[in-house]
Amino acid sequence: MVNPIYIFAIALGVGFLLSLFDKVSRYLSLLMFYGALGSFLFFSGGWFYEFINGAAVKQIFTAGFNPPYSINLQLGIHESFFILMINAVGFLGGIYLYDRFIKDSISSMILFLMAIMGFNGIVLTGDIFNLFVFIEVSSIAIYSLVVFDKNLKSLSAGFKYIIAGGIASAFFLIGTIFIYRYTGTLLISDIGNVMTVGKIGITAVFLLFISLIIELKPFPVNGWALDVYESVNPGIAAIISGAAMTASFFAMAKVLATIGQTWYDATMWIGIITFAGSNLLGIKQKNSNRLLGYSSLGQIGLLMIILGFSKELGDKRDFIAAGILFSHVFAKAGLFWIAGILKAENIKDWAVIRKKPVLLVLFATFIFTLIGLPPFPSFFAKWELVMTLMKGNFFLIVAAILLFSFFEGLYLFRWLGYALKLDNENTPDLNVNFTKVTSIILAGLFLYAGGYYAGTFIEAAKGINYIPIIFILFIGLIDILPSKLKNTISIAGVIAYSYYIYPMFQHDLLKMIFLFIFLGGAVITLFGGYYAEGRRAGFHAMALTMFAGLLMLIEAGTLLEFFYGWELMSIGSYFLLIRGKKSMPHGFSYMLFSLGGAYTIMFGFALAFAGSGDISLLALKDISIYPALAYSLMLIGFMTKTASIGLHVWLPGAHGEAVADIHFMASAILLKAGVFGIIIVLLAMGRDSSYAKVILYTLGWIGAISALVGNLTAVFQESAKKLLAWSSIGQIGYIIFALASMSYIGWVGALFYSIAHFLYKGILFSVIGGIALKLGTPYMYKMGGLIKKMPFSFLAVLIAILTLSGVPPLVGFSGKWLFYNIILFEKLLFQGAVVMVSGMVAFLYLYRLIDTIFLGQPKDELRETGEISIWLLIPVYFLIAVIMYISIFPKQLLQPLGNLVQNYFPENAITWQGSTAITKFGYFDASIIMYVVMAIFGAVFIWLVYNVRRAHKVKQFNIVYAGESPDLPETTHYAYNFLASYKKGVGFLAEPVVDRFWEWTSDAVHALADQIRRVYTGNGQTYALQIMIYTIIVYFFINGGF
Amino acid sequence: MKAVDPVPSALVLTAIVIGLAVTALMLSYAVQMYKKKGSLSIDKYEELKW
Repeated sequence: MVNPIYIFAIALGVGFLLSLFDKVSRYLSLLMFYGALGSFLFFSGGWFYEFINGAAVKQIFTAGFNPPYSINLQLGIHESFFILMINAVGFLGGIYLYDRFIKDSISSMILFLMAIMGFNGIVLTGDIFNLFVFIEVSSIAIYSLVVFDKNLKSLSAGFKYIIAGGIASAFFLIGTIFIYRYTGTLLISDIGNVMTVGKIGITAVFLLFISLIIELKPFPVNGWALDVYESVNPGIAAIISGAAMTASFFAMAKVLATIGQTWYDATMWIGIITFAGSNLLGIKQKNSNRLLGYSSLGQIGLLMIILGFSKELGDKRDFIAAGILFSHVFAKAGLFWIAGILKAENIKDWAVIRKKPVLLVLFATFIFTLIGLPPFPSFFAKWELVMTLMKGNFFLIVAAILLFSFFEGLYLFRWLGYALKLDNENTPDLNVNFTKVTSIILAGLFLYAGGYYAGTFIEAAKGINYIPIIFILFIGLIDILPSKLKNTISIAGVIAYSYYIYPMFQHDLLKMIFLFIFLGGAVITLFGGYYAEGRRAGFHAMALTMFAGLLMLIEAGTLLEFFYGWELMSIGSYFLLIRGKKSMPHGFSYMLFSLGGAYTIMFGFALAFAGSGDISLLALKDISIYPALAYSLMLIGFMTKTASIGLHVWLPGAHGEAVADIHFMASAILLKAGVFGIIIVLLAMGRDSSYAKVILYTLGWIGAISALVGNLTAVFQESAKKLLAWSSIGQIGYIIFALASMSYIGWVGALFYSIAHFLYKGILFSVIGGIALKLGTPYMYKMGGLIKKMPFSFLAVLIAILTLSGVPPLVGFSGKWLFYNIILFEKLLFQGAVVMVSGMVAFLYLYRLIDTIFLGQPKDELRETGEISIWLLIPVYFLIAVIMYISIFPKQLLQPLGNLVQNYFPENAITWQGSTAITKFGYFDASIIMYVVMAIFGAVFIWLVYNVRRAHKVKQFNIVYAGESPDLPETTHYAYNFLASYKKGVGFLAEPVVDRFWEWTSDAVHALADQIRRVYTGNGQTYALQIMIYTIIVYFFINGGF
Repeated sequence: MKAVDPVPSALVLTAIVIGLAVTALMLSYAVQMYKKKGSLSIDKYEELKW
């Protein structure tokens, strides 16, 4: 093992010699500089490797003396991990700044080296005064590097930084002197002893403590730190946020370990305030570097919470802290480095990043890491943190952590949305040089590798299947190939994987149903994707990510695996939904609801885990701690995906902008993930407990109202795609209503409907989406008379609509029949009435689809149009074939569904006689109905054909024009405001009250953040005063008075 | 044995050196800031806030 003293020897030696060798050649000094940084990285990597393989902790005393006369260093697994991160960021950061170091004064290199050496020293030293010296060495180096770019902003920020740092170091020095005076030792491991000498000892410890706290930049006395992040060169900001913060955090941990529980508690509360304050105020920030500053401060807050909970987290603490810290260090450094390349101050100017797709991918990687999404280490760390704290009954603190994580997600996703969607036409090209990108790519790779490695540490994540993820990575790597080729590979991949996992779920019908919807849906939608020409950048990787997530929901055996799949699916679908032209706000609100929903699910899961200590999905049964809250939260979380009323505001916009095959994926398939989640929760909850009755009753009403409002709002849409989107909300409302009945017939109905909805909605989305794509508009009043141009589309839509409306003889009728039975069996008369009314409302918009798109007069500009893409029609006619089969033989589906549901709800089963289904209230035989309807239809059809020869054909322009031309031509079109008369009567039900509520909430939170952030006055003296007052308050808080 | 504890001496000396370094750095900051803006009042340097 190399002696760690060499780090200091090399740093100081090279530091002195650099200016000398620089006289010879800049390349020589650069070689020495990178050699030094590289050797630090190499040494610390070697040490870490030795320690994870069980080497013993090493103490080093210098110059043959014992402490306090010698400098003593300690090197163990913790130290080696921390300096490994510091030196990795130092090395990558040095490479990143290569283009500056090659031309700037040699002093930059020396200062950089000294800063990194100082951070190493802070981690390694075991001596309190030494700690002070290393803090000062690194601080002075950083103070000087702040003005790396000599401009007014960085000068004034640096000055404020020195003021704050000066106060902190004065406190530290006084504390150190007191400690030596009363104990005669400078060993950090012994400073706890000073507290036995009375109040002066406690004051001494307090001074050390507050000094380290100030170094960690607690809210609200961290305005100076934000100024530094905003103004300093991003290459240096990455070092401050990554390496300096890592070192300060370790110093804090080292001191806390010797001084007792009170101080841990104080750290925890300071951490919570910092985490909350920083993330709340971040939502108002527009400057990208300052925003990264807010995020950095928030992450430090989270780390302080983890540190404060050392005792409660026990042996999990190190994993959690390491996961969060590792993620923060590389993600934040990466983001600062990207900021340095883009030179775009306002987050709205980040759209320029799309000119370099590699940077965009890395940007998204870093954002996801910070939020704690899979597959990054922060995801696992956050999961363990929430679960362990919950087990210790810290419910409110967990709730606070999740709430303010949500705010962090809010501003980071808004930023990502800007980068993905805003216009970048008028921005100059990006000049990216090799050294800069190398650092960023390596940081990104570390995060992926770290995520995989972190997953192997957790028992509950052992079952995560990485095969689909590897396949997605492969598809991502071949993204430059044409879309059609990637499509073929993707379909082959999905089919091969389906074949591989089929035997595992063969005997579990419930899972098979959803497996069919998810994987069958994947094949069908991807097949439709052949219509797309060109490259379709990123589409396949993201679609497969979504399907992999969905698949993982089914495969999951533990809570963590389920949640992993859930988040993966959210990420994939976010990227799909944001592809539409005007999708930015909708993709954003989709992600916010997903994130909020994910956190409520996580909280519910954590309650389940806390009660049982079980990591498997079985923990959801018989939750012992706040079961009503746990089940409600999980249901709310899942209902963000089913877009039930109240949580639906993201859906119409997001789906309305999505192109045909994505619309199919997002609506007919993605929403079923929520249904699957609700099924799992309801199965676990049962229907017998008193709270279950209340929850189910409420859920039933939510379903019924979703059905009514969804269908009714669909009636008043002008855009065919939005119409279908609203209709999805209504349709899923039916399913939720049926599930909430918790009865045999209800569940058979719900599962049957889930499949039927997949079939006919798939048809409608593909065809209507295909038409909108072909005509370039989704507005129905711009269509009309397309029946002769698109006969196959017309027939498909007609069949889908007949199915959806529930008239005989198609499968929709079986669904309706089941629904009548639910209402009668369960005596859900009021809810049932609402559901039935909304079923009739559905006729209105379905009729509108046929009438305004296919019937009527063809538009002049659409005279030359033709049928939609064959690639969309093939899967559509496949789905029609399935519908026909199930329509004639519903027993084939209903009987196995019945057998399945009978396991859960044995009473009131449907009995079968041949092809006739019988319940207490009646019977129906789909085959006979089909024959009867076919016979009647056939007769009428023959009669029509016979009569049509006598019809007199009217040419389209054989009419008389009169009057003036209106200003807004569409307002006079019959298809515009088509069902206006209904609006007068029931339009109030379609008012967007829920949208207004969420808007109001958002405005209120933003206004609050805007008020609070005024504590950051920008004045250095005010900041000094704030620090002093803060110090006094914390002193009172800890000691309860003088 | 009559000897002064060397630790406080080392401590004080080091603190003086560090203090001097920081003061010198602040002074050079002040010079640069004056060059850029022509003022030594800290109230004039509030461009960065919120």
